[in-house]
Amino acid sequence: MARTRFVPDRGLTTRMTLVMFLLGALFVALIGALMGIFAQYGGPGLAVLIGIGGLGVVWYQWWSSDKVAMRAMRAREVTPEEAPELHGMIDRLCALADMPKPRVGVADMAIPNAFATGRSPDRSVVCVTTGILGTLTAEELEGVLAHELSHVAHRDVLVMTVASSAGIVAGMLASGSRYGAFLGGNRRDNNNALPLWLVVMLVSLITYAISFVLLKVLSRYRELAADRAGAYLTMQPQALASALQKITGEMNAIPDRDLRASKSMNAFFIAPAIKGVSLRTLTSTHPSLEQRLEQLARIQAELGRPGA
Amino acid sequence: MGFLDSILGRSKPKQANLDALFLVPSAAITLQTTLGLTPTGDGSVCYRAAAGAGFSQTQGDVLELLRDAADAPEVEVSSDSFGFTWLQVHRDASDTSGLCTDLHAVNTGLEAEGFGPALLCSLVPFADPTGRRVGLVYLYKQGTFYPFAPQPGGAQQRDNLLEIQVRDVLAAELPVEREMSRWLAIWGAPGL
Amino acid sequence: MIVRILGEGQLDVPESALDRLNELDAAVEAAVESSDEAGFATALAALLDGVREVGTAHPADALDESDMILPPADATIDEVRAMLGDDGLIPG
Repeated sequence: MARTRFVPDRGLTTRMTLVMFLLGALFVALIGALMGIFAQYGGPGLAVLIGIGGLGVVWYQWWSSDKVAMRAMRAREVTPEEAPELHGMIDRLCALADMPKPRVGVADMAIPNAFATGRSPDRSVVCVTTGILGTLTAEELEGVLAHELSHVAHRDVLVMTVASSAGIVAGMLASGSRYGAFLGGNRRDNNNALPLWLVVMLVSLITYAISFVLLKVLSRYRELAADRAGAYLTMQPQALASALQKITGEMNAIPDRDLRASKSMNAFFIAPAIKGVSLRTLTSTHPSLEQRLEQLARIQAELGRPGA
Repeated sequence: MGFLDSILGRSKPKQANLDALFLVPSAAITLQTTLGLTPTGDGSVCYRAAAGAGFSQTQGDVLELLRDAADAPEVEVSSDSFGFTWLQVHRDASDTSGLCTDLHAVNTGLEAEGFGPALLCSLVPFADPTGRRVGLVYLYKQGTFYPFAPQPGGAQQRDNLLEIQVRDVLAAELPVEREMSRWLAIWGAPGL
Repeated sequence: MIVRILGEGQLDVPESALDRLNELDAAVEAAVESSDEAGFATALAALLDGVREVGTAHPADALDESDMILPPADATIDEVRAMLGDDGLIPG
C-alpha cells in the first residue's frame, strides 16, 4: 500500500475550525442583535435587509476578487510565450497537484512578493512581482508558487471573504449609522431608550473589533496551512524557507514608500509587508517568520526520514 | 480533494495512479500499424527529488533493483532545467513490455516509500522512419496519456498535427487526457 | 542542541552548557510566576546572554527544528507567561 509521508497537523486544523465557527457565530449574532434592536424601534425587516445587502457586498468581493486584485497591483497577465519558465514551473506544479492551471500575472513592483486570488481554482490568478523574480532563485520561486497555489487549492479567498462577512456588515452599519445621527435619528419615542443610531453603532463596532482579531488569527492559520501544502507539493521545504528569509530580509530593506502601497493587499502576500519580527504581532496577517521556519523544518525532517 | 479538506486547508498530496502503464505495449502496436511509429527502446520516469536522505536512499534502492535484474536495462539519471529528475531506462526496441515493467518498478519503488506524490509523468518515445519523434506521456496524478511531439531542430515548437493524429488513433485504447491545457510541454526530455 | 532566540535566529549550543542555562531559565520562570518585573528583565537578559556566549550561529540556510525557543530580548512578562503556558510557538 502506498505509504504516506504526509503528517496532518491536527492542532492547526482544530484551531482553524474553531475560529471559523466563531466567525460564523459572530455573523449570526450580529444579525440577531440587529433584528432585536430594529424590532424595538419597529422594523425588524430592515435588519434582514441590511444583512442581505451586506452579503451582497461579500459576494461581489469574492466574485470579482481576481480582477480587483490585478487592478490594485497594476499587474498584467503574461502568456506562456512572454514568460516560458514561469508558466513551465506553474504547469508542472499544477500537474503534480492535479489542479487547474490559474492565469499568471506579473506586477511591476520592487517589493519581492507573490499572491494568489480568485473565486475558485478554475477561475484564479497567481501573480508575482518583478521584485521577486529578481530576488529569488528558480527553486525558491517554485517554493513560493507552490505556496500560492495551495492558497488557491484551499479556496482561501472564499473562506476569508465569507469569514469576514460579519466584519463587512458591521463596517457598513457603523458608517451607515453615522448618517442616521445627522438625519435627526435621535427622536426618543420610548422614554429614555438610547437613540437608534447609537445602539447600532455600538453593536457594529464591537462586532467589527471581534471579527478583526479573529480574521487575523484565521489568516495566520491559512498561511501555515499553505506553507505546509506547498512544502509537500514541491517536496523541498528548504526552498520555501530560504525564499521566506530572503523576502522578509529584503522586505525590511526596501524603503517605506513601496510598503505603504501594498498595505491593502496584505492578506495573501507571502510575507508580511511590515517590519520587525516580534511576538506582539497579534494583528499580523501572517505567522512570524520563525513560526513558519519551524513548521517547514518539521516537514523537512518528516520527508527526509529514511525508509522503513 | 474534498471540498471540506480544502476549506480546512489540509489538502493531502495527490497519490499517483500507477497501473495504466501496462496499456502501452498494445498501444505501441497500434501506433506502428497505423502511423508507422515504432518505440525507440527508451523510457523514463520524471519525478521531483524530495529533500533529505530518505529520498536518495530510496532512489538508490530502485536503481540497484533495476541494475541487478538478470537482463538488466541501461539505466541513467539526469535532471532538467526545472529541477525535476529523469530516470531513463533503455532496452531493445522490441521489448516494450519489459520497458513498462521497469518503469512500473520505479513507480512502485518510490510510492512504497511515500514518494508517490513526487511522481510527475512517465515518457515512452516513438519515432517514424522520417525521423519525426513523439513521446507518449503518462500523467500519474490524472491517470491519463497525451502525446508530445517536438518539432526537430531545437525551436520549442510542437507538431500539433502529429499529436492530434496520435491522440485520435489511441483514443479507444488508452485513457487520453481530454484537457489540452494539461498537455505539459517537456522540452529536452530524454529520448525526444 | 539548537536554540532559537526569537528575532535573532538559531544558535548551536553545546550540551555541556545545558545545566547552567537551565539555572538561568529557572530564574526566568521564577520571576514570571512571582510577577517580579525587575527580576524578570535581568533574568531574561542573563539567559539570552548566557546562550549567546556559549552558542555559535546556526547556518542560516540549514533548515532544522529548534530544540528550544526563547522569547525575544524585548519580550514583556505577560508575553513570556503566555508563551510558557501556551503550547509553544506553533499552534496545536
